This record gives sequence, structure tokens and C-alpha cells, in this order.
Amino acid sequence: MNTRMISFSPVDAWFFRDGRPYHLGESGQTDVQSLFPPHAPTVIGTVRAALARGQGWDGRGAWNNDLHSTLGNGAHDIGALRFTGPFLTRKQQTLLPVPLHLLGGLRELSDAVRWTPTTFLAPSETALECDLGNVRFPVPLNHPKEGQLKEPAEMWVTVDGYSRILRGESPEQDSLFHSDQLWKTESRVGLARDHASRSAEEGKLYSPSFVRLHKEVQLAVWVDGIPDDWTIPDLNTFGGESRLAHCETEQSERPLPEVPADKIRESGRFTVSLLTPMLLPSTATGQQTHPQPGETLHSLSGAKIVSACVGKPIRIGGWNSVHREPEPLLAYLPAGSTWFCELTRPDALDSLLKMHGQTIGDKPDHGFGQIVIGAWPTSKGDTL
Amino acid sequence: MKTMLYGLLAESPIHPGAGQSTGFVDLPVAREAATDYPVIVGSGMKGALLGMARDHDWDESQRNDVFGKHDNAGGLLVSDARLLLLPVRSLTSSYMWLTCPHLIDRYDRDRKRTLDSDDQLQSIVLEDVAEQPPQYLGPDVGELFLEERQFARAGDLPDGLIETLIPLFAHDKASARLSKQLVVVSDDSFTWFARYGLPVNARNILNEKNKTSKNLWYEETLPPDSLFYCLLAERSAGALGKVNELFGKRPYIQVGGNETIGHGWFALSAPQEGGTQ
Repeated sequence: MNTRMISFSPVDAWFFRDGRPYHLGESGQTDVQSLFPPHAPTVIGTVRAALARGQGWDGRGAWNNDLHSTLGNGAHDIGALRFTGPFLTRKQQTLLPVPLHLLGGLRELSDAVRWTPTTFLAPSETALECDLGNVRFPVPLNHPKEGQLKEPAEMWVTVDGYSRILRGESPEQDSLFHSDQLWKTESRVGLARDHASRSAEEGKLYSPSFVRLHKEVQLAVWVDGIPDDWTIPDLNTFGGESRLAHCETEQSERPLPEVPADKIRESGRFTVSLLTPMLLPSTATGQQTHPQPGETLHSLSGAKIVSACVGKPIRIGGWNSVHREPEPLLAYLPAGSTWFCELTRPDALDSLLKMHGQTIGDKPDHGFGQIVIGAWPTSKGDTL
Repeated sequence: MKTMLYGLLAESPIHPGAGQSTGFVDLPVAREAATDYPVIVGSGMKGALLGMARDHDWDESQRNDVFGKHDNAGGLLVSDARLLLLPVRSLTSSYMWLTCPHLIDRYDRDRKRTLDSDDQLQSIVLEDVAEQPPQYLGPDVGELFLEERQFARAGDLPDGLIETLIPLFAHDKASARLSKQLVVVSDDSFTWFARYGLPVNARNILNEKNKTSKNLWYEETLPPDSLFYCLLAERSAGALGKVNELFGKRPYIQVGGNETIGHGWFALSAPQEGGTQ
């Protein structure tokens, strides 16, 4: 069985609600924002339903028990399927979220004011005593002569551009995209009409913000475990309000930037960045604990964390289509979060490098917690 | 998934409201965010279909089965109605039906995914060049003036384009005019007309006693003869068949605002069918 890339193109516009209520007749239904890109559970559910349809499921009720071994059963059992992504693609190029240890500033380019990379963050030489103990906080390697340093909010980079970042180099400007170059939000207004009076019903006005992708922008997910003879229908519902997506499938390797193994081998230091949100494992009491400086990052034994740039937790749930109710929201570390690590056992390097592109944390089969390994940026040799 | 593609030819001005004002027009039409093309959103189309079902005395269980209810999705999937031809007035001739390479390409892709159609139209390259009059493809009328803009002819329409559009027309007499009135301009020029070339009507409420104005407002509409198309699909078998029954006797649908002043009427073409059951 090979990895298949499934690409979704909108027929018109899409809507992926966040965890806030979105019910007929409830108050607060103005400017209901759509998430984008949707999180893995939404995409996984769509793919599983589409595969089931391809195997004869009529779209209603439970699918045939024969499909459980491949597609799983219910919201959490995904059978034999393994997912990577979802990621945006533009003109067939995969785009990945820019890691948070690359800072930039707003610069006027020919077409617009855009975020451009300025410097990397790296752990400071001296530790600072704080409530976490003595910690080497990340500091910028260079300070711009003017302007402020901003994190790469809503910025995406091609795989080649990401490879440069992992080497500690600046990505080319044409490999970087802000979300407004990929999609636009589209405010819509809806109402319920009283059929007899032909007037709007009281309290039934609502205004969701849909997402409309630009030309040649798609959403893609890579799936392992689909039997070779299974097909996916061309047209499927995707996200809220039963909007439609056109699906194309092709054999394709998972997109992965290059790991700068030589640089890491030379320095004994490396960065670990999340390509997809990570669900921190829970303790027996149900608490999630953040990896702290001096500790080992999950599944990466032989190295210790020195410092980190971790974004604010995001809350991801999903929709349980069997029970027709939302899944509970859980806190995830956002994509782009980066840890700075040092080897504690030089012989562990090879096994650590093998983790490049693998997943850490909970729900790895859903594609959560996919990591890439890069070199610690240094002011020496950087092209920023 | 079984699918159908319907053409929608405007028989009257159409006002698919945006619900928010952006400029001097108090009530603009809804537009796609990324392109600024006028659009009739899927929820509006679906609501119009539901209204038709009520007019045809469908009972509640029939309606819920096809259109869904509060906690259960229905069997019918409705896309946005997408613009394909926009009537624009001309100084030198009758009005022209305007379209552009992007809209034709989009329609081609929609046909491919809806109807599993392999007969692709040839792609059109038409770009405006600075300091030269913009160009058009279409019937030879020499210099073409559309609104206040002048266009130079660059050639004939692509082969097969008119034949591809004909199934979207409910009326043969209307589609017979395509060869004389269909014009392709560049994407940028079309966007200009989509933004600034729609009719804007002033409306007024008069004081009953002294006939002075109590309220004046401006609203944007899509002109009659605008051509849209809409994709319908079914989540569960039978939904499309039921909707087709609605159109069987009288293939007209009212969409959007101003119903009581005659706006919003579309003539539906015969459906083009595709997909699998």
C-alpha cells in the first residue's frame, strides 16, 4: 500500500466553525468566523466518509461492519488509516507553517506590505533565573536597525523554503505566503423566511464568514492504509453547511523538508519544530504537562531541552457525525512551536535524526505532532 | 454521488443582498471575497428551493428529508449560483454578454467534476497591456465600447465555447443571440465591470400627504439576462429526483430580495446530469 495524497478543492466556499455554538435561533450568530485551514479531525472524517461512500455506503447511518478494519468505527478509531497533514498547497507546492523561531518585520514590497524574515531566535548565552529555574530564554540573533520584530503569524512557506530555515538560512521571499495570498474570508448573511408573510423570521438572522480560496490553492492530506483498489468519489461534502469539495487522489510521498544532518552532527545541537498541532500526553490524573528545560522531549531520548518558542495552546474538537454533536475541545500546542535541544548522548544522534518527519505526542495516527529537525541557528553563517 | 448542473437565466433584475453596505450603494449585491464577482450564495439558493417545495405543498417530512432540519442534514447539496455571463451595455451595439478566461475556465472545471465531462475547452490567453486599448474576443463590431471603456478586437471566440454554453439557456431564442453578443474580455477588465458595471437603482418612499421623500436609498441589482449556473448533488438517493419534479411543470425560481416588485426570477435550463448513484 502506498501513500496517497488527497487534494480538496472547494466548489465554491467552505465553512469550518470553531468550538463556539452555532445553532438555529440562538443569539450571537453574527460574524461567526470560520477556521482555516481545518484541523485534522475534520479532514479525517471527510476522507473516511468519502472512502466509505466509494465502498457503497449511502451516506446515512452506520457503515457496513466489513469496513471497520480499514476505516475504523466512531470518532476515535480510525482503523488502518494513517494521516499526515492537512497542509495547504498552492500551484502543486505544499506549504508548511513557518516555525516560531524565525522573526521578521513588515516591509513594503512591490505588491503589498509583507512580513519578511529578519532574524532567528536562539537560546541566550546566559541563563536567567525565573519560576522555571535557570532558563536560557530565546533571544534574537540580530536586531533590526528600525521597526519591530514580529512572529510569523499566518505565514506559510514552501518545503524548499522550510529546508533553508532548518539549515539556519533565510527562506526566499517568493517561498513565503501570508494567508491573505491564499484565501479570503467572505461574510455571508442568512435568514429564515416566514413562508406565509414572506418576511424574515424574528431572531433567525445570522452571518457566518466563509472561506474562499484563491486560484490554484487546495488543501491536501496524505493517507497511508487505503487498500489499492479503493477509490474516492470526486465530489464530497466538506465541513459545515454541507459545502462541497472536489477530491483528487494521486500517489505521492509525504512532503518533508531536508534535515541538515551534517550541521547537527557538528554542533550536537538541534531544533525540533511542529508541522502540525501536538496533543500533549496526559498523566493518569488527566493533566497535560509541558516538557520543561532540562527534560527530554517526548520520544526524543538522548537529548535535553534547552529552550523553546511555543505558541499559545489552540483548542481542537471536531464533529461527531454519529451522535450529531461536537467532540470535546482539547488543548494542543500549535504548529510552528519549536524546541532547542542539545544531545546528552552522542550515540543517540542517528536515532534522533530518524524522528525527522515522525510524530510525537498523542493521536499520532491522526497526523498530530509531526516534527522536523533542524540546526540551531547561529549568527555565524546565516544569510539573514 | 449523483449531480446536476442547472443554468439560470435572469428574467428580471436580481437582488441577492449582501446585508452590508460598503460604499455609496446602500444595498449592494453579494460578492465573492476573492474575486468580487457577484454571487448567489448556496444558502439563498437552497432557501428558494425550499420555498418552491412549500408552494408545491410538500409535507414537513418530505421537506425535512430533502432540505434537512435543525439537527439533521438533508439529502440535497446546493452550491452557490456562479456568474458566467454578465450583460453590459454598449454604445455601439445592443448589450453584450461579457465573460472572461477565468470564468470560462471555472465553468469548464465545474463541468468536469459535475458531469464527468472530458471535452475541455481550449484555454484562452487574454491580458491587458499597458498603454494599449484592452482587447476582446467575439463578433467583429470593430472598436467596441462597453460602458465608458473602449476595446479592440483580438480575434474570434474559442471553438466550442458557444456550444458549451447553449445547454445553460432555458430559451433557444436567447441562446441563438450568443454568436452576435458574446464577448470575452480579460479577467481584469471583467472584474472592473463586475464591480462597477451593475445597475444601481434609486428607490424612494414618499410622504403620503405632501409627496416629499421620506427615505431615499440606492440598491444594486444584476441585470436581466445575466447567466448563472448552479450545481446540485445528493447526499442520499432520491433527493435530486424530487427537486427535479419541482421544476418539471414550471421551470422558474425566485431568488433573493424584492420579490414583490418583480425581482429575482430565473428561468432554469434542463439539467445536465452526471456523477454516479
